[in-house]
Amino acid sequence: MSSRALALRWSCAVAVLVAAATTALASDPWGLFPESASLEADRVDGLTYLILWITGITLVGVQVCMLWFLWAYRRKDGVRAKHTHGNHTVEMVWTVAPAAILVFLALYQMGLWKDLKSSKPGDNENAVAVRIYAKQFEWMFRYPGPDAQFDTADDIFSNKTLVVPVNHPVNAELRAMDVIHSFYLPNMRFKQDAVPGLHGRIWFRPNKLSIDRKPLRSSRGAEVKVDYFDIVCAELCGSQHTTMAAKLYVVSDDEFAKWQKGDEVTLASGTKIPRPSRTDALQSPYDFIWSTWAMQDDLKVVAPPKWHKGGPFYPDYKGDEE
Amino acid sequence: MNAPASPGAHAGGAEPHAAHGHDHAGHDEHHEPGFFRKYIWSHDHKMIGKQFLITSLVWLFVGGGLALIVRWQLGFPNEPISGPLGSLVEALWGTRTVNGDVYNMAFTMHASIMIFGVIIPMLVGAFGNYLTPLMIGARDMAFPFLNALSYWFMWPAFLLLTASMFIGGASGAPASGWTAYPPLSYLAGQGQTLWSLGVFLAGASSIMGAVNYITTIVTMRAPGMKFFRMPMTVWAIFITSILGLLATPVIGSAQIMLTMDRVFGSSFFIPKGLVQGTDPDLNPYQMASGGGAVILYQHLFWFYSHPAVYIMILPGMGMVSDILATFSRKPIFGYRPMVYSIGGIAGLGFIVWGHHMFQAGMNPMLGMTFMLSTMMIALPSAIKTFNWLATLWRGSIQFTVPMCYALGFVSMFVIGGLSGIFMAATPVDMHIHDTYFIVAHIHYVLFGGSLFAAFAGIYFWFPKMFGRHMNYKLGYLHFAITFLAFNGTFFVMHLVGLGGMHRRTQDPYSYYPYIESMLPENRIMTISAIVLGFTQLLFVFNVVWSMFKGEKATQNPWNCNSLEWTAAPSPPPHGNFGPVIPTVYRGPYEYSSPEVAEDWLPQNRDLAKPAGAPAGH
Repeated sequence: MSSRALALRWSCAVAVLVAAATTALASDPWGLFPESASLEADRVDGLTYLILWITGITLVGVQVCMLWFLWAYRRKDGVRAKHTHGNHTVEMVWTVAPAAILVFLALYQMGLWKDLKSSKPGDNENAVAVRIYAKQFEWMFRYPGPDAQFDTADDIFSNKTLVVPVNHPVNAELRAMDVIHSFYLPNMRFKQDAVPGLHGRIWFRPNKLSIDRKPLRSSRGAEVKVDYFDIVCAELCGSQHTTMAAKLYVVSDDEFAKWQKGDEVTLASGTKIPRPSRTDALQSPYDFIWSTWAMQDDLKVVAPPKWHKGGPFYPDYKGDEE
Repeated sequence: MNAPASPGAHAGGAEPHAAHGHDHAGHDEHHEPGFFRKYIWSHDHKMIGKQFLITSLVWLFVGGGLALIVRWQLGFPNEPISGPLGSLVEALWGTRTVNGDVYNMAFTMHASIMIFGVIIPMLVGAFGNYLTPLMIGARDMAFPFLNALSYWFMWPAFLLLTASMFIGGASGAPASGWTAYPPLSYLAGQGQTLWSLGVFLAGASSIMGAVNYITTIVTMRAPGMKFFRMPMTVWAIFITSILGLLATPVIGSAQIMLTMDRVFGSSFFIPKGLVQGTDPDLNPYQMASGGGAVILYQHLFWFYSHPAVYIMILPGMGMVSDILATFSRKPIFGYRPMVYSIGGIAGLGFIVWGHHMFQAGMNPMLGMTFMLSTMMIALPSAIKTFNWLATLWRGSIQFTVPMCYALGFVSMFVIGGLSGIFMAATPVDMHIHDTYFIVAHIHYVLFGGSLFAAFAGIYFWFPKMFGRHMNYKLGYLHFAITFLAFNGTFFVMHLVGLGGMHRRTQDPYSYYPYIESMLPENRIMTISAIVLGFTQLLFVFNVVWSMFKGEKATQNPWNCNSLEWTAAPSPPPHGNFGPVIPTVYRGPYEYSSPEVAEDWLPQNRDLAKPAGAPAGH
């Protein structure tokens, strides 16, 4: 073989390898998912692609095989079907082979599931704590404030806007105040139901500033610049379920510190992030009327609203302690 | 004495009616039953099967119309529905645009009606009733009166589900999804109570049917009909009935507990501290006594509703196995592995319910065990698929209409089965749970699977049921459009689901820019769904027209081996068989057997007798 042909062959091989490697390394080569904004999202995407390859090859194999049989063994005059009741060997093969693949898949993903659900991120010291309240049809976020303790007077509140610093784990407690909601971050591939009566512990770790998010395409083809990640309520929660959206701003450490102090933060896109408040918006009588249901436990830690005349909402209210 | 149980012509081998009825003492033997006893309060399994079939076909259109309301809103958001459907929606709920209330009601009732009113009554009620005694060589079900009750218990269920849609307008209708999770269902309008009671009664009907099928199959098989000589359809109905008998009481309990919470103020599902009030100044608070667990309902619900998915697919698998063997002119490949894998699906089906709750706040360790069992339940389905393919291998394949639907079933069920593996993987499920991916999955199983099998079954057994053939040109047209429009509607859902479009939301486009970009895909799905819906009118026309005007059928037009074709005329008379119950000599799949010249060998043909002697008599 001439050296030139050899070189051509080698460069082809390298090109194929490089293409394969980039496909394998890019977390979402076919653009199936929303833009990834965390390391965990990339890992979930990788697992999805693995399953997609396994199931895709199976699917194509079965369908092609079926079409081939339909063509090759269509009824022909004088040709009689083969009289057979089965074959023990092939039954064993197609029992054991899928079983091995399924068990492999089951074991393979356990580590990721453990990392996502059962353990906290390693560098917990830099974690941001937040308590997430879900109620019909609004998300509310509560931060512990300067003393790092929840349920104290310096807690800060933010409605429909969650602000977190980039590359910090977010340790959140998920509470539902009326019906089941589900806290869904499509860009982090994160989802967890908020269940009345349970205090769900969750964490996620954004690794991308929301301002750096790639532009979306609208249905008419125009570019849409979005500077936040979506927070979606993914569990049916009532007639206005569809409106229960909130915004997740992933910002720099400085911007986060500024925002927590109550200063206005303006992003490069010109968006002014709504400032947090010191008071719980859920105190307003309007909210009680609007949301006819409320979790008593979650409400009694805040001061009773001014219109309060006693009654079962605050039967044992004694100040700010829980 | 007894008239044929249908208005169809009595074609094929009309048996002499003498000597019939030794085991039928007490039945109205020597007179024609009146209209009421024949068509309404019938105890004949064939008439009850047909009753189930006709009612579930009617409900198929109610459920389909509701689906079109949902699809309309997603394809043409906030535009008034055009055409007669729009006028109907306006007349019923006072609005042509689909608001949150109408939308939630529509998808809730679509799923409820399709599951409790169409798929289960059609596959188990209609085919189970019609085919079981005929296929095992029994004259009727073990408990004919209970059988009639099981059909008539569906009517209060239907009436309650219908009433629930209108009591208190759209905002009072059930709108908590077919899953009806509390506390949302606890807070819902009055329609929700009617819904719970309707589901309870549908469940009661299922249980009565299940007891009957099990008893009939165990005790009333014809001489020589060993368990491992039963057609796959009978095996599937048998195992499905065991599933139904064990699982259905649990959803019945869950609905009663939910109703108790709603009506009598008990607190099975309501946690401590959830307080109801309407006006703070009037202080009409009712405090829930607490102690309930929201997630308990989900466990109870899915303990039934996951096996229910298998209740809805197993009979279809059985029928498709029979049809594939018949039109491949070949024994079913691996009969025993096929039976065992149905058993495997049923057994594993009881320990996978938790996979609906991976993200519901259940312990993640528990999630892992459910993940493993869920992965393993893909195995019996894989075995069945490979055996179906091997049945086609070296067959002599006839592309009749039922065969097309059976092949469509295999092809679509593979997609539905494989997409389940994505959701079984807990980390992937975190992203695609509650998105359109799961909607795609369930429709590939229940439409591409169960409903395709039901179509296959109707085209296949129609000549037996009504003594007439359906129009097969229309049948091919119906299959081709249904197959394309089905995939146009539901395959795209996988993609928008992976893209993060969550389900059960009325107007995601206005609130989520990343979903707005998926509007074109949604429009394709909606247009496909409209085509899919209207194509079914073709089918109904075909069924009704063929009942009265179709070409007359002989006793065994498909040259099939099982008893309903070889031992009973089309349509079979009351009592099914002639004076003597047929004797069974072999399994039902002896196609292209070297023992005989023709390519079929009836179960009841005694080869010791000279050829040409009437089979089984």
